[in-house]
Amino acid sequence: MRAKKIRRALLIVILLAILVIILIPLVWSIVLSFDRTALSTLPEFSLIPHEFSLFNYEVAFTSIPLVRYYLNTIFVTVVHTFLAVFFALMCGYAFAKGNFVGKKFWFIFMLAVMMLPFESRMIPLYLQYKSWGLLDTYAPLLMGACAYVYGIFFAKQNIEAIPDSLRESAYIDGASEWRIFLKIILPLSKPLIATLSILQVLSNWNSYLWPLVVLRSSEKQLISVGVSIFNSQQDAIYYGPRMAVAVISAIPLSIMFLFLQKYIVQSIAVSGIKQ
Amino acid sequence: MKNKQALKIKIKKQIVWYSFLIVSIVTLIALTYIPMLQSVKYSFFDIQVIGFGDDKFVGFQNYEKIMNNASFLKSIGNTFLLAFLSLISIPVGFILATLINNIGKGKWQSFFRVGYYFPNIITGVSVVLIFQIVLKANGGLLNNALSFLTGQDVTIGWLSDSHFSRFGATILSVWGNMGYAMLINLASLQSIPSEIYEAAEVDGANGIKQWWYITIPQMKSCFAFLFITSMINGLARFTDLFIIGGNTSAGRPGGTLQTIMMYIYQFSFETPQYGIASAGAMILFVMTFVITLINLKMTGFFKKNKV
Amino acid sequence: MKNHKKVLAMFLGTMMAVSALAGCSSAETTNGSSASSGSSSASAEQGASVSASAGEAANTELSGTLKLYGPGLFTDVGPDGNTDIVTGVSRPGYNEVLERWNELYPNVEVQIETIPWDNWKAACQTAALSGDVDIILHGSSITPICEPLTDYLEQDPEVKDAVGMMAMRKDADIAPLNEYVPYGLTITVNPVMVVIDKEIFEHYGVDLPDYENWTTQDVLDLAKATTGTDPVTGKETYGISLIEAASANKNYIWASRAFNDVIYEWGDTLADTKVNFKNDTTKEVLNYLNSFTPYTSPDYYEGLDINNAYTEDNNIAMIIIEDAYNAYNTIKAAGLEDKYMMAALPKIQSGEFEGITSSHMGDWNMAICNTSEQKDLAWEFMKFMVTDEVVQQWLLDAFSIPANKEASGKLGDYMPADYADAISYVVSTSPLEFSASANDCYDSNNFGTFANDLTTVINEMYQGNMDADQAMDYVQKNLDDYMSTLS
Repeated sequence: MRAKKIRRALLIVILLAILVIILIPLVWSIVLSFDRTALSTLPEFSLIPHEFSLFNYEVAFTSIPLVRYYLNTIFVTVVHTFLAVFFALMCGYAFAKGNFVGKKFWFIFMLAVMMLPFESRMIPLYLQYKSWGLLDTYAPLLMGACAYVYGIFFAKQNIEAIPDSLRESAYIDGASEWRIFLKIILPLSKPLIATLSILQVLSNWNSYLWPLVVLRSSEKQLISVGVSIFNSQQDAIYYGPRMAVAVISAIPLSIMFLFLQKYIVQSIAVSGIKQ
Repeated sequence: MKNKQALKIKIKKQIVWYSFLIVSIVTLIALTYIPMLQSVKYSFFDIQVIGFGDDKFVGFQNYEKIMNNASFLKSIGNTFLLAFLSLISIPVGFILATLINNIGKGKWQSFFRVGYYFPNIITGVSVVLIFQIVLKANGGLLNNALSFLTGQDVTIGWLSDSHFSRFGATILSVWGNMGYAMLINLASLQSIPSEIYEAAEVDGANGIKQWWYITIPQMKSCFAFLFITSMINGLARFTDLFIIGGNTSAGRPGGTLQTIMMYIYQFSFETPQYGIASAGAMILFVMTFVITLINLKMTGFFKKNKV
Repeated sequence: MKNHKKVLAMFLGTMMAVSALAGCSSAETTNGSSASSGSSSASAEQGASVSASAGEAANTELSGTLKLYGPGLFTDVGPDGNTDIVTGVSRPGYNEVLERWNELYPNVEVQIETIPWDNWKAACQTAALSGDVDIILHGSSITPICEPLTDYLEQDPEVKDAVGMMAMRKDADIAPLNEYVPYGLTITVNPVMVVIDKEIFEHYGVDLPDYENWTTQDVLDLAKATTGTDPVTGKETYGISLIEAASANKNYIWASRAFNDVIYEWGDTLADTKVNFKNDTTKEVLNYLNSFTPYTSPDYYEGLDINNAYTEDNNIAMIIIEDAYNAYNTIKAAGLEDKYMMAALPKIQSGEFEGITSSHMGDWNMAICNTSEQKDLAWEFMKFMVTDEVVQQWLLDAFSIPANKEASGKLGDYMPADYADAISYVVSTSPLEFSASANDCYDSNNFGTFANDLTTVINEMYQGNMDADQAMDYVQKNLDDYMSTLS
């Protein structure tokens, strides 16, 4: 028993050591963001700021409308994530439990384009939105969410694992497929929703080229473009302020992850990849 | 009469199922398939910048040109090489998951789970910026550590010397992805029924034997899943390499980091020859489609009742 | 009332004087689009006080909405101006330009949509497709989406006389390739300069160069002489920092020009043109650039060597820079104006431009988007940007070097002679009919990935992974590949 305890302590120490090494770049970024001396000259590596100050954050907030970009990004991300996850679950449910003509065809039809590089269809897509008169609105950023292919794939795997017996008893009560979906499948899919949400948020938060291209009014822009504008406004690479901006833009993601991480692990455990 | 009724119910059922799919199908057609068909069309035309100048139909010439272009072939090679190298995150994640699993459930475990996953959340320009300093040739943190360990002066240009740049880029991607690999491995490890181990213990199998004969075979489908997702991510790799190259798609240093995506981007916008870029995109599309299908087949995705 | 009359009289007086000097008067012009040339030269002092009388000078005939799109100066300063966090100096925002414009053209609204440099080419090409853009900022680099300015320049010859540089390109569809086609009106110029640390030179007992006469060999010798352990401070110093490795092709631009390495035999079309990159002079140029390797800091490649530049701790004797004004501001903010000086790059050895400096100029330009439906109006605005005195003043205040010759002559009021003279020397000797991005030694517009390939091979040579012959083979092969796709 004691040997086991020692072994466990040893493991923890080893894991902590590795973790420290891995997190050094991140810790350093955070340290730099509080360091008044981190400007175009990078200070020596250290785990505490050479001269602690909130100056870099002040700079970040005063030189660009960061709050506005922030709110825009949160709005777009939330709506996009909601649409993407909801429709992914709908399709996932149909593919997992449905029995209809052309099921396999539509599944391949969806998976086939998972890999199409966005850059190569960006211009035709842009022209399409132009003809619909939707440029400089958030529609081009949001409409694509209604077909979240990876999410559909993942949702199918997860929903397949939900036992059929639940559905059957609902059938007997005369429930329709939609009712089953809304009342049984959705509540059971919390871990799945959490996982897909965080994946969506991660991929949305940093998207740059498409918002840059479709949004023309600067007050509608997103944080990724804002950060880039911020960087180009400075005469040199000022490390401290850059890191401050990076830290600010990573905070919502980190908080979200901390809240959702236990669901994520659960959903991975029940998805098709488990044994 | 009864038959008609049955048919009606059948059709109604179909409609119900399709009502789940219809929005996504329409979206895909409108926003992906139609633009893609445009790209297919462009790939047969001599176009410099879309919408400007006269487009000339040239048949398969763009494909011919691109297949004879050394840079394109090199970028295919780079892409696969980088994608394979980034698979290192799977064993690394597995080892981490094994260690974390061994400390047993509790506060420490969730702490490590969160801690190791963290790099996966933090992406973007600033990470690359920091890594450019950590990995720099002269006095970078990694080289300093290596110098300390080896007792020699190490000055490897991890991101600047074309001989090492692929390893440098791999360090970046493994750092970012091992947390994800760890999470998935850990979840998979924890879903292996403990009875199997108990039975093995009764048979007198030691830890390593258990690990080799029970754990690894049980993890097969988890590895396969990670393999597929890592390959797909690897083939689409773009942003971080774009930034390492100084915000160009040339794949600095020495073109060693130019992936197919970067090649397509270069010919779409930087030195615009849209026809050729579209041909490249089509080749990438076919390649990845085939790989995805093979992957799905191999992992038995199409088999029924896989739970 | 008295006051008002005085102002009016002053205004009219100066206006007449100025328009006479500028050699144009509103009487000459008949059509609406160019009727403004007279009023656009109203001088800076009045800008603030004329608001009462502006109505008379203003052009109310023109109306519409102009849309500007692109990266560069407008993005950097923003609508309301910004303050650099290190140098502490602030720059006025572009709203000042718009205010001035609206005094002159009250019925033309100008909307500026600024984007960052990241992915700017992709963004501009897409924006041009929308048909909702009139002027592309810095658009001359993407010729297919821009309108050649030849006709406009003929119509308003005074514009050509006013500026010291224009964004020239080669375009076989418009003119034979040995001629230039103006694609953008240059608003501000960025001459490539050498920042010299006079202290390091002094410590090593090396004479400062005479930058109007030094040669490529002199640069190399000086770099060698100032590399080592500083005899006075005992610090390690390096002789030179070339333009950052990520843009190594820009070092090739000046070096190939200095050696007069003509690689193009222009034909009427691109397909008729021969590119002879593999030749002895190119080899010389590549080896010349590579011979600086021992005198550069090991951090050069990663762009980190100039982190300490313009501070007390600077350890690089000569720094080649593209953005002279920023560098000067940083030096000034650090209170080190006496420590440094600026110089032009060495003189050109032979050929058409023999004897002048090989310093080329980058620029920030405006081009008319060819999907615009208000091209004349767009031209009017561009003309305003290079001729209006209030704008020139604004450009100088925003720490840019105006392309307008008269305005760039005022640089001496903004910085000491050690800096202003050198910059003016480059600006004034640089031929109008020359473009750094499209000339006989280097053309980044018409030959596919040429510029990227150059960066690749120069960097590979720097790392010791290639020699000059391999480098030439690499570039020539890609050029041949590209040329074979033209048919």
